[in-house]
Amino acid sequence: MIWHRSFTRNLIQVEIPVLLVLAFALAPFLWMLLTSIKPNADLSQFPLRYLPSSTTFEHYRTLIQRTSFPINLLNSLLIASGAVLLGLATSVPAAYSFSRFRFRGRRTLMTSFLVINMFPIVLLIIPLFVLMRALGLIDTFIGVIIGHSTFSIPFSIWMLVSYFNAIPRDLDEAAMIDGASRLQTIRLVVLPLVMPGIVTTAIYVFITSWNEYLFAMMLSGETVRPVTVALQLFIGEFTVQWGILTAGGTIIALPVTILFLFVQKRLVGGLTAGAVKS
Amino acid sequence: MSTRAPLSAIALVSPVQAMIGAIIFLPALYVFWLSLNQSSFGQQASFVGLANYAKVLADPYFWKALLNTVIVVAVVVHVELLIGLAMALFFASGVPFRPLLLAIVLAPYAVSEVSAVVMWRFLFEPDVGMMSRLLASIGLPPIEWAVNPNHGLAMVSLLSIWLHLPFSFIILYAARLSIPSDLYEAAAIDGASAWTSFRRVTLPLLMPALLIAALFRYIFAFRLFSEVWLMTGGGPARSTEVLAVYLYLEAFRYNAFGPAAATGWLLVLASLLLALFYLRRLYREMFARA
Repeated sequence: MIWHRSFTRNLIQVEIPVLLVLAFALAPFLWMLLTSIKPNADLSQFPLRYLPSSTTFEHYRTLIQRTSFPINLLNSLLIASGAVLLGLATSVPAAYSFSRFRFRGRRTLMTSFLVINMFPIVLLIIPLFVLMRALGLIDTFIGVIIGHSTFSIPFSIWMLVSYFNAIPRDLDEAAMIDGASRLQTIRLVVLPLVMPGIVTTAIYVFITSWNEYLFAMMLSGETVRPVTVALQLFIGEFTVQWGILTAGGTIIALPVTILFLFVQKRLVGGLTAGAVKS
Repeated sequence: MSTRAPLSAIALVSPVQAMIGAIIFLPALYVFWLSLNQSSFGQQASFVGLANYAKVLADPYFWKALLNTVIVVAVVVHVELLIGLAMALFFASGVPFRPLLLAIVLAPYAVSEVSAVVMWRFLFEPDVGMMSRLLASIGLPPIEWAVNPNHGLAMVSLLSIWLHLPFSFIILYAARLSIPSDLYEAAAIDGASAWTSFRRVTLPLLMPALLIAALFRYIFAFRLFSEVWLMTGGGPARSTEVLAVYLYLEAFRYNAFGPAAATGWLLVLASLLLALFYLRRLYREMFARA
């Protein structure tokens, strides 16, 4: 009887909560994935058909052959990669400087990055629209890339600074005593050690830019339209064709979710450190 | 301390400063200036003082949007903190396959709002959605988010919770893991029940993390845009607009830059006020009980 009681208790205290948590987090995603590989006949079947009667990629084929989706994918890839390159090119030197030099205003600047994070993008869309139009950057890759990389700077800097700080300064100094210049020290000692942090930050910027919707919607026309904006237009266009819509949703969500899983541990570390220390 | 080169230090920081200045700081100032002027596309701005603020504050749609925002934010943040707390305690008490489960629970954090909208719309689609059929099988009507404003806001809240729960959860979970286990052993030796050790040990020690999670989520939830825009578009008949959607429509549908800019600053102000109020209340409660 004791075994029976602890079994029921275990069921209530562990198994059922685990299932609930799993269902809430995973079910919508899984259902979208399943729907995207079901033949159209399965979708409207009554009673509900959970598993596809046969796997099909027809929705993906339609999406790629009949719509602008492949171009939108390429646009998203270019924008996100551009945002990563520009973001890293500016954040890495700045983070190095924040970590290795003590100068006036250092603390104020670091704090100001946190405060800036509190500013909603929606507040900035009017002036940014006016600014980008004046500069002729509406519907250009440069415009969207500059926006996306700037929005991700605050978090990137906090994350990178903590990685730079984790490398003991004695290492820099030892290298310089051995006759290395500062640049050589950075290239041969600091950068290799900080690489995991840089990769994590790069993936963070990539995911944020890939997923961003509001700024991209406002700034992009047909030339640079990314997948998020395109899928939103498809929702209006193919209202009832859930096969195509779920295929699009899957293509947008699946790759970055997998990417996220690789760096999850480090990203979460950076996120909680940033939030708790602030 | 290698403090010899402040000049190169500043040179290394300046590109970042320039970008933040050009894309965030100056535009924020410009919005403030705009909020005091009357202007639109290709129209010369003229100074009108606080008239835009007065105009916005006299608009019933603004108050509707503010009310919707406050309700959705309050529901979303509190439910998130509650579920996040329960999950943090649950994960800390030891779950099977923890790394895998953790990965799954955090995954929605990487999903774009647009994909999430497709998932949830399809789940609740009145004709073919899985949830609608599930509801029907237990005798409940489907959720008509496109017709009924309350249903629309409920869907938005659900979607928002799903997308942001990982954030609240992970902050509380990290804080829970940092509580030393000796404290629980000591409490157990003193004969504390599970509930007492939660009330006297876990909750007080988690309070700072709870406050931080609440503050962050309040400020971020207040700028809620995509979820509403993609789910209901603010309709039917402007009944599910939130502040950010109201701002967007004012600016780009009604071409009223001044009122839109004023709304932006009111949004920032309202979110800060709410966050401050909430924080103060929590702090007070914390010290009254301690």
